[in-house]
Amino acid sequence: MVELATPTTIEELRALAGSGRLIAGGTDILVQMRDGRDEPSLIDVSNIADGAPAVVITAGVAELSAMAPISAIVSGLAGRLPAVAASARLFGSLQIRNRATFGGNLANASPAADMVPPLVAAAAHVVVEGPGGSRQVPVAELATGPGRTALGPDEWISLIRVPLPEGEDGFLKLGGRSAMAISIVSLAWRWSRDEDGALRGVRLALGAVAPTVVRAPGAEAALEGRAPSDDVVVAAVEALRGDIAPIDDVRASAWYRREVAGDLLREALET
Amino acid sequence: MVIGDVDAPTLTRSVGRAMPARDAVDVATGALEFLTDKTLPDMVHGKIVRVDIPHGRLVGLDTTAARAMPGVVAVLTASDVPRNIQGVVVPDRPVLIDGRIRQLGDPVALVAAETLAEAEAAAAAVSVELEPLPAVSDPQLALDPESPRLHQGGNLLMELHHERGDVETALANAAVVVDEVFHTQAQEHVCLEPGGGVGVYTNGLFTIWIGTQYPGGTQQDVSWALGVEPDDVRIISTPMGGAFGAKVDGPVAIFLALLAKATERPVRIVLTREEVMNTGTKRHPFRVHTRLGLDAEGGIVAVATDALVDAGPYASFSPAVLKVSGETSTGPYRTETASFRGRAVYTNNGNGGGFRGYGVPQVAFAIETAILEGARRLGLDAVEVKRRNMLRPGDPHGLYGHIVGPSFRATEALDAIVGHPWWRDREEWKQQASGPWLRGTGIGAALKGCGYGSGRGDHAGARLAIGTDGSITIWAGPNHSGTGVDAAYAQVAADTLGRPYEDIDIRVGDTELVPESGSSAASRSLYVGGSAVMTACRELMARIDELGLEAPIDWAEAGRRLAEAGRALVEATFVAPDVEDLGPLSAADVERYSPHRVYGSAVQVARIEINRYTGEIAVRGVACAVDCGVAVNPAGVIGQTEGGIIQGLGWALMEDFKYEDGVPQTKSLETYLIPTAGDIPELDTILVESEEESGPFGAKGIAEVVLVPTAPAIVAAIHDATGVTVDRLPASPEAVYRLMRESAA
Amino acid sequence: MRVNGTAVTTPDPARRLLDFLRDDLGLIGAKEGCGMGECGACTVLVDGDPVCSCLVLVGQVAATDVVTVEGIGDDHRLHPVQEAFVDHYASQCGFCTPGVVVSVAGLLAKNPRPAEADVREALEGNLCRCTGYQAIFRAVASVAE
Repeated sequence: MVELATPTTIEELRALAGSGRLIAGGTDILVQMRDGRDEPSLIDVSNIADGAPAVVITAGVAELSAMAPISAIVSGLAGRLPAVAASARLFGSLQIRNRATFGGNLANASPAADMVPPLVAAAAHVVVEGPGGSRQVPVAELATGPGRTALGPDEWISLIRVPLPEGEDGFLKLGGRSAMAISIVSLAWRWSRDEDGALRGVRLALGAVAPTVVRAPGAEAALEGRAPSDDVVVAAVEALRGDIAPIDDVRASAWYRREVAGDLLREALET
Repeated sequence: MVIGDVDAPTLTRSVGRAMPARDAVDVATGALEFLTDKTLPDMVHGKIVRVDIPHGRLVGLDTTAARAMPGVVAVLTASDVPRNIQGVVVPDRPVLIDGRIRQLGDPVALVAAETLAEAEAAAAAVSVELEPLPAVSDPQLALDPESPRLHQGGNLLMELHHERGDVETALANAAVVVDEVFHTQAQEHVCLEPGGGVGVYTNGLFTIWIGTQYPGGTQQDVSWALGVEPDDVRIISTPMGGAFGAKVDGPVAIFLALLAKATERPVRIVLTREEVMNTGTKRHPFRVHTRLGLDAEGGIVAVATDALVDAGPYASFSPAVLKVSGETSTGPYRTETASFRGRAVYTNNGNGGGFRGYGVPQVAFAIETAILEGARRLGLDAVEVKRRNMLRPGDPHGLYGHIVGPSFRATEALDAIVGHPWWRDREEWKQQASGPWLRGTGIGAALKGCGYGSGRGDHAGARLAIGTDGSITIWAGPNHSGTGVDAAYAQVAADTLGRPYEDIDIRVGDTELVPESGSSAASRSLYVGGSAVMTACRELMARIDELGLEAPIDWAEAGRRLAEAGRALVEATFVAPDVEDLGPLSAADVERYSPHRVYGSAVQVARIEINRYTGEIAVRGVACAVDCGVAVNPAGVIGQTEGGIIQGLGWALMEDFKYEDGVPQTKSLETYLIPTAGDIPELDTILVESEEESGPFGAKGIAEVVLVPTAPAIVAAIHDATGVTVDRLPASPEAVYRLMRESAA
Repeated sequence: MRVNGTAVTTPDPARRLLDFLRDDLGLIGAKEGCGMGECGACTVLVDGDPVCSCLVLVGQVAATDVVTVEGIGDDHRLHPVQEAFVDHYASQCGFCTPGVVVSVAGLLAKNPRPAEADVREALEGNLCRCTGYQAIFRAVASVAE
């Protein structure tokens, strides 16, 4: 028999935290429980009334609620953070986006989590709440392995702070069909171009190519300060293939993931 | 668009008009009760205990703990099954496992309990001891004498062979010979309703509500396994939440009967998606070795096809599928020389069974792609090669040499597609490609027979009652499996009787009331079942004629007078005619190969875009010209065509049921992908009409053939866009990417 | 919780919304096609938003308005979407149709004149295996005009 607690305020949540598994939309946990995962006690965060608004834009930073449905974040962004919005729109179906949250997607720590690469590319942080108050953690450091995070059992994610892009950003996802598909590979990027066309502040992040979402330091270095000429693109693509450690699974081979990840970068640079 | 040579007067008041499905309002409001929705007072819930290995032995089974669980009403094992064997074509499958395990998910016990949760808990408490054996997962290796034998007779389930003319000599003299091996994958039906039903046992009689495409076959399965007479079993089989061949056979009706009898209470079993994915039938994976010989002008001089078919653990309909593959291995093309060797092989993979298209898509992909390659080598246009060789009415069939019936319109269908803007303007469209997308356009063609084929006694019955108020009720089969064929039956009846459509009450899917009519399968429902309806209506008209009533007929009076005479109930049977001109075939060949007298055909153009960086494919448009005879219900023909194209698209691009050593890897809808609303191209259906003399108002069956040309058309379009030839389905992003890389290297 | 406008009490908060609707309230329009949010046959509106009722626990939506396919029209008349589905042959086997109708009704309530891309996005989570979707698109377009 599963117990479900439904706190309606942050204070109630604070009092309950640690006594059960947090669920927001439940779109992942309930599927895992159907497959046999044992969770005797659930704490629902989808009814918290005094949490943050879905999207707040302050000086140069977008604050996204970790507990709001993804669809509310997408509409709240209204065209800002194009890479984040693109990844969110490709997440699941509308039915899923109406329940699932950014917080849940981050806390699940799937290597193929669609919305994480744009956050990592953006150098976003999450605000983590717990009994001892709040702390800020870079999104890149939140996941420690497939399904594992740096969150304590009584902690939860309340906000995601995403710096607004100063230059270009984007997101490409490769799946087995156009919608409702777990990524084979996803790529998010941020960079600016100076007046000579050279790329500056290059940050790349990839999903489904390693145990967690990863940066691509070799490819970033190959692009940094250079205009993306044919030679530079070739070098960056090769470096990116060396940056990642994909595996074979039912969706794709490691070979394809490694090779096509490079071509996604090529597509991002050329089109 | 409708083109064809049908005389206008044929299109009467009802036939030729688009009609909604008869249950459409109840469907749209959610009021329609599916058979898995059904609840009865005092009902218990059944659950199947299944094994989690693909091959092995059941060495121990202990139900003691399960029987003691709360709410448990019954626990049944193999010794509780009166005749523990089933199988429509070959009886090779235990109802409940008593020794050998041949498939992951094979059932070893049945549980019934007061609630579903109690049944699930008790099923989990059944203790099963298994001895795993190495899985037989490769059909080629399965034929090795050293391989474990899955059935007593060995792993070769069936071999079919036929040769017309001297293939080797013809190939030796050909200008080019394409010699290629093609691979196709397993496809899951994904009926949105996973399946199940409700069973009741009272006074020695079983009533089973279960969505089955073959109520009479299910009745036989149940009566055999339970050791009772068929008349003691009533199958009610409508509505059905999707079928496509998935619901022609299977053990769940027997399970319901066993539990209903043991508990003496109504029992419901609803399968989970995973149960269906693991144990339901699949489209057979094929390895097809094709040798196609062409002369310098592109004329086909010989086709040699060798098909190795993965049948999985049990026979299901594999022997029948193999026959249809043989018959369609030469495509809708003429040749005087052809051979087919097909072998269906037992493995521990998915259970090959009936699936819309029934062995045609696999061999069509092979012959169509071989023609593409042959034309390329000759420097000819592949579509011109197809046109040049296209079968025409009265031609001898490529493999068997029997004469193709007069309603065949493949050439007209090809002409319609060649004239379609998506084909005509393909070069201009290609030039407008932009961004990462390359563009290409291709054409595929196919034929498939209507009905079971010659020598099979293919027939359907209809029972008609006229009431004393003049009302008309017709119990007709085959069943409505989602096709809305009952609407077409009503259209046929309305026009035969000269009455409004609304006057006709059609009932389907009940073995108590509908005469034995075979399955809703084999593109036969309207062709055979509609003909039976027509025959019954004609008999009624003959009886009314004998009354000598004045025109216009007073139907109530006719009903009263026929009732007085004891003639108000009409029973009719229609037997589909066999091939008229056998050509070189003998009577024994007819039995062996079941060639068809009537074929439907379809030709499609697909326009696609391919991401040059990733290999992703987006299909932008598919137009289908369908050689359908007279379209009794054009809405039904278009609906079948559109749905068939998208199932074909899924098979071509993304659907791939994978196994590792017999263990399913894609057992949920998260890993087994089918097309969503986001994957749908523009679709255009062109009805190419003719009058099939043996069909009702000139109709023939098309619901399978429309699926077949999609994959070859997409593969041709990929070739047009990139120059690469796909020889293995699906054309996933990875597969296309790999081919593009190899071609660039 | 209100279901189709009527207040209902919810005994077990950890019960799936789908089971509550089907087994306790007898609203069989929402179907279970997969139990994991992949097929959309169980789609209902929660405060106007389509969700998969197989992935919602009753306690999570205890204070909401739930609308099922049975509550889309009224007792006397089909909802225009339902009428369009009949007129445009947008169902075949019909098992997915209740979920599709709910998704479309949810879309049109927010966006009465959706572009085709909006319709596709709204229906990405509703698998249909029979129709090939185009008849559904035609039905929606006829209502949206």
